[in-house]
Amino acid sequence: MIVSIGEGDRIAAVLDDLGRLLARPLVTLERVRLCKRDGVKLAEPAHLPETDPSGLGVWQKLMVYTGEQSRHDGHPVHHQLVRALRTANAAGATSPRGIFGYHGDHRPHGDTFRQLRRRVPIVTILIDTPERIRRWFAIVDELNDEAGLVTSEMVPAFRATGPAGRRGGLHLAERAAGGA
Amino acid sequence: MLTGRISAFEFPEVLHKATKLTVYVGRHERANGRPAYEAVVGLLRERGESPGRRCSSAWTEPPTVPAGAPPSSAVTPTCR
Repeated sequence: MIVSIGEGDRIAAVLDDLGRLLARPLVTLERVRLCKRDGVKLAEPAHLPETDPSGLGVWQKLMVYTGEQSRHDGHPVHHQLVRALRTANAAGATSPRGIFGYHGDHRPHGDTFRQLRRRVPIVTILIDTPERIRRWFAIVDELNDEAGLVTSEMVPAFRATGPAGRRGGLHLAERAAGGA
Repeated sequence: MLTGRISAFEFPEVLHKATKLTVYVGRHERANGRPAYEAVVGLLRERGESPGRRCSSAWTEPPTVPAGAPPSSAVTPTCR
């Protein structure tokens, strides 16, 4: 899958071409909030209520788009992020590697045949309650100080299953006005 | 979620600000004679080069979930 973040009208303008390019196009569109770009803070994650009007839990997701080559204090940003979040007792964070990508005016990057270091894109994802996401964003903000993109979005349902049992459910909470 | 004639979609007001577009393609799917993921990223970048038509980023992930279950409270993008 390919993920792209942009202004709505710019995304809309590309749908026509995507429809012609792919034999069976399948796309999703979601509202997000752009929190940081290239180390510059643009907005805090939206302050969402912990529950919707009917009492269903509301969750929030941070996505941090960096690259294998992105560094903080000489170490890969995604390693630093996951370590710092774990130390702070965040419930979980995942950093899957991508294949190929670009951002802004930068050239597309991915692995090539002859190279010493990997240059693939990486996205670090964390989901938690809105109150805790505000705490984790402070860590993301501190460590993601040079490159990449940080977005937040509302998650209307969350279910985690593990050795300790099952948490959350799959009933969709009502979306807060303007929440992302 | 949009399928088929996606160009006919009329954007709701809430998507006029920052929007996340996710395009789903198969690992072996091809478009214009090259891997579909490369063609889509190329298209997004090409459109971004026109003034005022920039998609801020594109990120491509392998289409399969890695082996091994993620931690109980963590997710991968394919589990959404």
